[in-house]
Amino acid sequence: MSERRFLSWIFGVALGLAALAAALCWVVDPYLVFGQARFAGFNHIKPAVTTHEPMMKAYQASRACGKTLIIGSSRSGIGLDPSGPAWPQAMQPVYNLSVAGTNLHDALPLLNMLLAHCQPDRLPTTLVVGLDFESFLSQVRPATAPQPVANDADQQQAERLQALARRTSGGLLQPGLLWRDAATSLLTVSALVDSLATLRASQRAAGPNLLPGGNSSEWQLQAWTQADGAGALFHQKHLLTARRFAKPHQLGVAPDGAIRGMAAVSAMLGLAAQHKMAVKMAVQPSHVSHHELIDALGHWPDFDRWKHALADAAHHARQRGMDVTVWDFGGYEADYLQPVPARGDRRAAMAAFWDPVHYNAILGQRITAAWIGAPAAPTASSASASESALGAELRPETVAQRVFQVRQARERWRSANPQALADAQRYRCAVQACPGNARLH
Amino acid sequence: MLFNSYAFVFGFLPIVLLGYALLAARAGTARWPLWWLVACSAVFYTIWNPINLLIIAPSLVVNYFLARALQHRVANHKQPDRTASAMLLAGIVFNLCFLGYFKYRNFFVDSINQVFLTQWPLLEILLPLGISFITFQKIAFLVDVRVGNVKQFELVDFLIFVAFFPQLIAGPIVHYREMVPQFQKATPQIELHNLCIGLCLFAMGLFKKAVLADGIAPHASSLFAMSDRGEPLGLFYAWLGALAFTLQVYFDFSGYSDMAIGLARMFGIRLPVNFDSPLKATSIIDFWNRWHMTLTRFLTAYIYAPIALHLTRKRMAQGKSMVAAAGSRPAAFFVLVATPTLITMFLSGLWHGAGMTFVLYGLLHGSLLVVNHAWRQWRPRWNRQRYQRVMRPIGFVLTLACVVFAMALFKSQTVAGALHMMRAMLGLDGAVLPQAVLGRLGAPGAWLQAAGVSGDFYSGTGFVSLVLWAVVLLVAATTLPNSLELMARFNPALGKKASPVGPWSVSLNARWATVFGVTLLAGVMSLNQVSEFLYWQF
Repeated sequence: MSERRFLSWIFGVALGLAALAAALCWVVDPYLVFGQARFAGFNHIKPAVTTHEPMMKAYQASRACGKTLIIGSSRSGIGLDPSGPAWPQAMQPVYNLSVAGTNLHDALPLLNMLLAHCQPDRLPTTLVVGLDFESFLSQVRPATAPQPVANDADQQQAERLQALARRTSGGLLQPGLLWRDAATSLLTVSALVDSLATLRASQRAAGPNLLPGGNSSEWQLQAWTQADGAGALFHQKHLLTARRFAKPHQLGVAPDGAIRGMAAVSAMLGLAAQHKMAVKMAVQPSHVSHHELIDALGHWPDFDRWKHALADAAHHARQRGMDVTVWDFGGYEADYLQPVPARGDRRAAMAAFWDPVHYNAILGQRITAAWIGAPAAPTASSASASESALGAELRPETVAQRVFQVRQARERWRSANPQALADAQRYRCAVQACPGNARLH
Repeated sequence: MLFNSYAFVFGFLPIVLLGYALLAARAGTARWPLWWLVACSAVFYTIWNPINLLIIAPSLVVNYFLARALQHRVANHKQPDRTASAMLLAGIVFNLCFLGYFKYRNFFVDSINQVFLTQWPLLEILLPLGISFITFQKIAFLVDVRVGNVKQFELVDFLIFVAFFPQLIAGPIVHYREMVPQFQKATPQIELHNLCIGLCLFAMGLFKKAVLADGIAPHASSLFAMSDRGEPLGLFYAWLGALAFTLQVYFDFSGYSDMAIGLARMFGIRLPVNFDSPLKATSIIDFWNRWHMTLTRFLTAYIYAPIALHLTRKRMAQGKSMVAAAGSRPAAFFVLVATPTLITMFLSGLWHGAGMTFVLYGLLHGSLLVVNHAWRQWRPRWNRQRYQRVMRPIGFVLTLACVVFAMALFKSQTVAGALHMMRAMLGLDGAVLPQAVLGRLGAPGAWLQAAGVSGDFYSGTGFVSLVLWAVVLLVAATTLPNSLELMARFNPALGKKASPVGPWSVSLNARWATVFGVTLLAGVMSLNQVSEFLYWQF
């Protein structure tokens, strides 16, 4: 073969295969970039959510508008099912904007982008916010320490959301980053591998998935539980929590005494006010073992303080004419008290939790019914705030009582389970020096 | 700009090739294509940070004029010429001081501060790209001029030698007499034959770097990060992490060398071989004859040999014993073999990085080389065939183990981190496997647990992925022919003789064109991944 023909063959093969790969990736659309329809058995399962969730969520949200939006972390992303029956008809359709590993501050650009796309007659009317106390903890840094720099992925996501907000519907005049997303979703090895994974998962109807309603499927957590047992997942999560949130992590407080993370709450309330949305916030539920660990790490007083701050923030918003409520599901309710199976036991199942912080959709539906399905918030002159067997509304006049009740419930539980606090302390001692304690592996 | 980037593959390279071809076809002189390459190389070097060029340029000017003066002196004076030697020495000192300031100033100051408890300030010094390689090239050039190997040169010859973009950042380290005569002899044009060979080598190198090295990199990085944080690793993770990094650095650096050789070949230039399947080595001596061969060649020629020669002459003058092929006296061995070896490897370690871990890396390998040399001196004199049959596999395993073990020093950020990793590799931190894996092994899992292996919560999927990557890459590195062997029919590089290697030998046919089409596509389609180029810091 001549050299010319050899070179032509190389480039021909490369270009031909590239075209085939691009065609496959475009049709399968593993990252939801192209908005392709989902077909059962072909591409309805999107397992790339485990590695590309922020990008997938951005593109999915750029085409979604719901009457009710949910924002939060993976806890609300998995636990709050937008298609569940507990959502009142008047609030549907519901779209879940939650993204794993994010906090309220991270959620706002995504929310802004979605609002920029919605037609005026389809703007959301209600914002449902899942709040995690841990996301308000931060590492103490000296005042002179430089601010941490956003990593490349975060910066890219911020640019992507801005670009999507500016994007015209269709056409070639797309911001550069969106062209890059399209190229990397068509002509990269990772896109090809993820397309093949999408085909395989869809054919088997099994795999992690970003559902059309924006929530993530429970498949992965279910698979891990079946493979390793709930006890193993709880143990691993407790170790991670202890490593991440041990002192000197603490509730960040500004010089004026305000909790730093509340600025994001204020920003969210401001955005909701701007778009005339009602806001329903909630402290998300955790298994009792997680509460014990938070206390063992020394954060319980701040947990109570944070609830007070949330109640105050909601109250001030109501005074400005907004429809805002905040509920507390971070107590010692009966649903949270199920003993964790022993490590190695792969058969015993947990009724409400996959791990200490991720509640399942069944519990999610129950808290939705208790919280969202609750009567409209009473006026300032009315009697007490709403309560149910599951959670309670936090208002300035009731938050102290709620906090006290939770502490009482905690003491009752500890009396019945004297080993619990010691277990939690062992996790703390796995990451911090404790006198006379053996290392917890 | 990196070779494994969209900007290089789709922008820079086609423009350089096109410009070279057009100038070669239309320019009245053969020098214009060379000036085009020099200009493009300057762009290649500058595009990362323009200050790089501003820092390097003055040193190039100094070296050029010094070389000119040296050349004039050598041409017009009889040997030995002390003045010429002094000029050479001045040039070497200048280049080493230049390198020393930018690369080692903070390291030396920090070391002094730690030892003498002083508080000399550390400065923020920009490290020019490829400064170590460029410095060695300049020193080699001055030496070649001094000894008369370079009798005539022009400015463009000097610049193309020092700054030719394929080997500018990370070698291979070449001699002037190897490269520039090729530019002077060759008709400046892009020949299809060279373009084919160059593209094939480039495709293989890109695949090795972007797919293989970058594929295993996250595993190596996460395990070494755990070690640097002092987290427990255990025996299996430690060895897997070190092996993963060994494979990463091999495919990364040899891939980059393949790309460099391939790019140079596109312009009709053959660069020297830099890697010859080092992980197949059956001794540490063999390893260093296969790993970063041009660096070994440089260090042998300019450090080891002069030291050994000086010490030999001194011993001879004193009437002391010399080193024989076998059974030398220990004193002779220590002075004439061990000492120059340790000094050379100390400097090799220091060259790799301004840090104590690199110094210790060099000294460790120096010690291993000394042990290897000592074994050759005093080993049992068995039947040669039987010796080879027994010792080759043992030597292979031992060499691989030593190389992997030493990589803990190369990769770790601190000495403490390296020692932590090494401790785990020696089994002093116990042995763990993911519980998810241990629980599925059945009877073998039970035996392992009975033997003291415990389960932890490192991802089972991650562990299996790491093992698969390590096994596949290790098999590839130790059993398959390397890229230059595949291309041996075409005499791809200096030092590699043209000879077919049987069924693996590349030919210009449809089958191989398909293979290279797929290889090139896989490499290009992997360019979006985050990639670290390990030899960037040099």
